[in-house]
Amino acid sequence: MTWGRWMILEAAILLAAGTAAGFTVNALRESSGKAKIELDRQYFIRPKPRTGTNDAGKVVPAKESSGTANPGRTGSETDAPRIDSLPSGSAANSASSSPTPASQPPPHEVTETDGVHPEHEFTAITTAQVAAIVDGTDPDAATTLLIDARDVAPYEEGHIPGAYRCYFSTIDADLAAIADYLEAGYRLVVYCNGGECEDSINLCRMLRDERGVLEENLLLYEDGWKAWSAGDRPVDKGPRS
Amino acid sequence: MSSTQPGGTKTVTKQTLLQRLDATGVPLILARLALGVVFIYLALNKLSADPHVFAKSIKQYSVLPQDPPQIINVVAIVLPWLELICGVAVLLGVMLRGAGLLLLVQLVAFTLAIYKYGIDLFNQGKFAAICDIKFDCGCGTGEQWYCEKLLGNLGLIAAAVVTAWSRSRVLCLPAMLRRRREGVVTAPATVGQELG
Repeated sequence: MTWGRWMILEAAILLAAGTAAGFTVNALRESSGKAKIELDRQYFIRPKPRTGTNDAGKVVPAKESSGTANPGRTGSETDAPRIDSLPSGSAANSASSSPTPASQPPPHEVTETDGVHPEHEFTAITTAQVAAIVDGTDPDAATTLLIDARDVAPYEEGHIPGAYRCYFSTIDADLAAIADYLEAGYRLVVYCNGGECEDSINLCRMLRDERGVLEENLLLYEDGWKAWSAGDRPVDKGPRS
Repeated sequence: MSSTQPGGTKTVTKQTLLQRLDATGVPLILARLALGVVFIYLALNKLSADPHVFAKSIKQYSVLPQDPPQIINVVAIVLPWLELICGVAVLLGVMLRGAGLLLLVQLVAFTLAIYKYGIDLFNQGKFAAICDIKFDCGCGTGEQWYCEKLLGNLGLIAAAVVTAWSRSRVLCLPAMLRRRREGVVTAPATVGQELG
């Protein structure tokens, strides 16, 4: 056999060995309690072409009838927060599409950033707006959930108070903790490190495309953890209690 | 080069400088050491981390198509193990031709991807000079300077070429085992002699 043929044969053997080892270990990850790569899963969601006429620049409130957050409840006809101006054909909040009571405050609008960011399709909010949600001065704070899209280690080093962790590789397990909120149509503020970090955008797309969360209920805190931690703002550490 | 034919006659062929250098075994040993240490280190770093993070690094280069998702996912599953197996193979001197070829293909692909990524970053106007770029290439080494990374990769490409094409088999496990089995202590062997 020629030198070149030996080379190709050896390369094929090594490639087969690497492939076998990779798939075997990936399959074993699940049994050891770690997230494995699911072959058919799209982990990195691309932007959705904007063909509809939904009013993406406005954030519609997600108000619970009692006016307080209650993660223990599931979104039933009577208890679920109500969402105004649902796009037609939306499934995620179909159980809560009854008209808003007259006593409910007018819909919250994001005015500082007012609109959809050119690099992604979500409404961006500022550090001041996130601070208003954290200290409860935002009128929709009770029905807003903060989602930290970073991995375990940076999350436990410090996160915005009250934020739930939801990393793209462990999304199924992480979302189980907030399933009731999602079902109830809470407004979600998603952030990651800030700057070049794309995890928050990717998570927003996953929540919209795979979990049916309305785009109007997804707010992106683009400046993220870097901006939050740079100021003298409250920080939680460790796992969420 | 002199070699003994089956009939006992000794033939002498003229060697080029590169062939003589290769016959010393030194270039191959240096190349194997560099490739083996670097690739085993990088592979272990990747394997000890979440494989999804490596998949994210692959995606960020925008070299592989995102659809179908199996492409990026398979590469993220297989590549660290391929690096580890090739790294161990070159350190031990096993299947050097195949390991050298696979490492060469990987290195050329990585280097082109890093080059393109750096150019794209530079074109965004965020850096005054291209060598000012410092980024985490997802290789398992953390943040690195762009130009240093490219130069390092070029050196490793040269090492992979030497590994794939060298005829020397000095300090290679199969040749050492064979000699030990045969009870023969000889001068550094070459593949040409062994095959001849």
